[in-house]
Amino acid sequence: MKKTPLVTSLLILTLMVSACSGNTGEGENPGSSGSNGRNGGGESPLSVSMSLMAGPKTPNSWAQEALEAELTKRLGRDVSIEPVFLPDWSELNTKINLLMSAKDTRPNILWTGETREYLKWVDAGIVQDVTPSLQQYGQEIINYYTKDTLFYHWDPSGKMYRIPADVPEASYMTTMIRKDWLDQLNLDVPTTLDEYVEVLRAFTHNDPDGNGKQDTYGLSGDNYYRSLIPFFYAYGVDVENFIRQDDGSIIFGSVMPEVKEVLGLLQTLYQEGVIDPRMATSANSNDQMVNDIYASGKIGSFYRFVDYFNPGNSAALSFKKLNPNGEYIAIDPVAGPNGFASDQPDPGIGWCYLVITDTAEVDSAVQVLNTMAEPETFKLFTFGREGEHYEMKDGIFTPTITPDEGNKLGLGNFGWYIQRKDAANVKNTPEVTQLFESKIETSQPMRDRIVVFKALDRPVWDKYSADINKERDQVFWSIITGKLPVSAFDEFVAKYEQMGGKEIDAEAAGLFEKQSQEYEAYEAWYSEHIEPYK
Amino acid sequence: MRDRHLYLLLLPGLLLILLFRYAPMYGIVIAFQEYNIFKGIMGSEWVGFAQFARLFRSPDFYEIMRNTVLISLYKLAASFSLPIILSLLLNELKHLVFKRVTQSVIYLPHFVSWVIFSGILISFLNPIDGLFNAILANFGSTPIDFLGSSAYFRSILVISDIYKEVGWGTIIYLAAIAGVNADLYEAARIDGANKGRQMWHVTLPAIRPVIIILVILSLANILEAGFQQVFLLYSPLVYDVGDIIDTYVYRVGIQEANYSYATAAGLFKSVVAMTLIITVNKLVKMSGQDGLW
Repeated sequence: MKKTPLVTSLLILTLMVSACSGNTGEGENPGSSGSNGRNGGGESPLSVSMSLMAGPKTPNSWAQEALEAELTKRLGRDVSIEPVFLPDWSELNTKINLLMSAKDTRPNILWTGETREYLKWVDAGIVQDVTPSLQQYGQEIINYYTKDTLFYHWDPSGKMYRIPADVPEASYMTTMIRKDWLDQLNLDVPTTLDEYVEVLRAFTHNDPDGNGKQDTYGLSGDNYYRSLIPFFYAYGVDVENFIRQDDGSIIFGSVMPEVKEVLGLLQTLYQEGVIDPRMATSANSNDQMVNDIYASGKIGSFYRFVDYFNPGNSAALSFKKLNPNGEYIAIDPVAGPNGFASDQPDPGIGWCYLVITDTAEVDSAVQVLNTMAEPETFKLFTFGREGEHYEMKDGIFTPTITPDEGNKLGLGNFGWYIQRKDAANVKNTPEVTQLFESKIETSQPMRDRIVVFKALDRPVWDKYSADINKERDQVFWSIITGKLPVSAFDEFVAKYEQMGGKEIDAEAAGLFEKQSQEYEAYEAWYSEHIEPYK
Repeated sequence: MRDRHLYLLLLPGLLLILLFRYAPMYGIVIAFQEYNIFKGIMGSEWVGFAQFARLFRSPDFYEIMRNTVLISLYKLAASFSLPIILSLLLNELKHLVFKRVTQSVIYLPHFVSWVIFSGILISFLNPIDGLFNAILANFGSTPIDFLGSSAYFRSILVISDIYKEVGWGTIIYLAAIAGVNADLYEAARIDGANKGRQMWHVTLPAIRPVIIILVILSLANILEAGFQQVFLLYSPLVYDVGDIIDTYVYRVGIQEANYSYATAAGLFKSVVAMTLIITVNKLVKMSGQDGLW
């Protein structure tokens, strides 16, 4: 009798311990491919682990097999890819930092947009210089990226530890306006901000869709300042960047006096019901939400992606389905009171990049990347096989599979790995390619004004920027929606000074000067180390 | 020591707590460092209370603290009182099937994630074509941007939280009510107490210890105003009433990889929570009630 509790206790204990240990049995992480990538040159098989963020993240996909076959053929050795799919954006940086913190979890090639930790990786010696390998095996890569783009990835020590992964077109957004509404209301395409504002007012109040209801808006877009670019840029200001002034000084765009005028105008338009009130809510940061609004056909104008003019774009398809007679056209940027006009320029740095970690053999990794950068390979894993997955008729790309089927094939899985934006991006129609080209010129005026900093280490800006940006967003959106008077802008400028504004401006000026000197050293390096190898 | 073998059963639990709750606590020290993930905890630079000083000197610290405490207190007031009232009402239902169905229906929202729930809320509260504004429009009202309005934002947080959690909150109270001695109700009835009197004089005093324990425990969460909910619903327009410690730390600490700063903010919250629990527990005991320990 006495033994019963002891036996029962031990039995339960054993069960619990075995249950717990059962969980640890799965500790072998198939993703930790660290040492596999060290198959050096020669004909030995090559296994490359790469972190992937783009596309549907389909495991064991057709795209992966097609890429492996292509790499095997081109490199003359068996190549297998071990994809490391990254989690969603909110957890991305944490995951990348964890992956990079231990050698057995570091992928051979890391895709990332994270710049905070990058310098620590360089200091810790866990990322490798790619210059010699680029010279030998990276012609496609060094030919594709411009000298200016590579500058931002160059280390002043004369090394290059990262390769840009996706550099957008020189300008990829445009003012778009309802052509059928202009015709309906007998209005001309606006060329100045004043004309643009009058057109937006007419779109709001003059029943452009002729349904007898007051249910249209002049302007809509997401909750980012980019949707308001026709207004800010007409005055030559960008509230998210540092702007070079006529006297050569550099100041934060948010505090330029012209911003006040723009906010005043936006407030008036918001009160008149010209601006879609959904723009002021964070829910509209979501592209899907804006695409739905776009498709609804109740909005006269957007500042939105050039890609919407591709017939295969999902927002454009939905719009056309719901509004068969509706038509958006892209117009040149409208000119402000001083005749200044510009589209939004892309900084040309690339928003994400690739590093080859200390777990990989650099030559092999660069060979893989270079092959992926070649137009034919890029088209293969991005769009599939011509004739099988898509057709080209008169330069127009037409998929023969549904988006769902494309996802199952893993098309897009290897996106943002030297993402080509030239003719290899066959999805663009000739008209869209032409539009992108014209944007290089129309975005130049602001490109000349905006200062793009190379330095990743900006201690003063890092210290104050979160608080300043919060204050700016709160004040500006409150002014636009009429919660605060326009005079609140002056208080914001005063507060900017108190929140470290002077230190920030001094840091910006210092960095810009240092960067200009660095560029001279870079030019010498580029002509010696890159130019001859192109 | 008659049951000493039974203590063996305690061992795995204790081990788990020591291993997974106490052992990792050494990581708290990074709140006093400028932590560098590659130098590790031992190699990172010690900065004393600099991270805490930065938190307290942040220009918005007062606003963030005020928002956090206010939103928490509103939620606490609602989550403390409404489930009790609802449990008392549910307890009086005589039709067993109806009671069970009602219970299941009011538990359901608890299982819907905030991501889904906030999506529903955003579309219902949309100023252009949302359900609520459509109803208001029928009464001649102009559209209201509920989620962009400082006047409504906190109320929306509290009401949506009540809607989602009030049913779930009744579970413990219903269990406690079920344990009340039936003789007491009989005695009360003989003394002429109606249903209302029975609730007031029998049920409530009987479940008082449970209520007190739950209130003390919920005070531990006074600086947890609901990160997911706020993060998914707020916007710059309502930063003045909606930005809380967690959303601030997310923007400044996690997104910018300032792990030490984020840890310092977390430690600050824990210290406040612990102080509150100890104080309230002491107050409860001083008033002659049973506390947590």
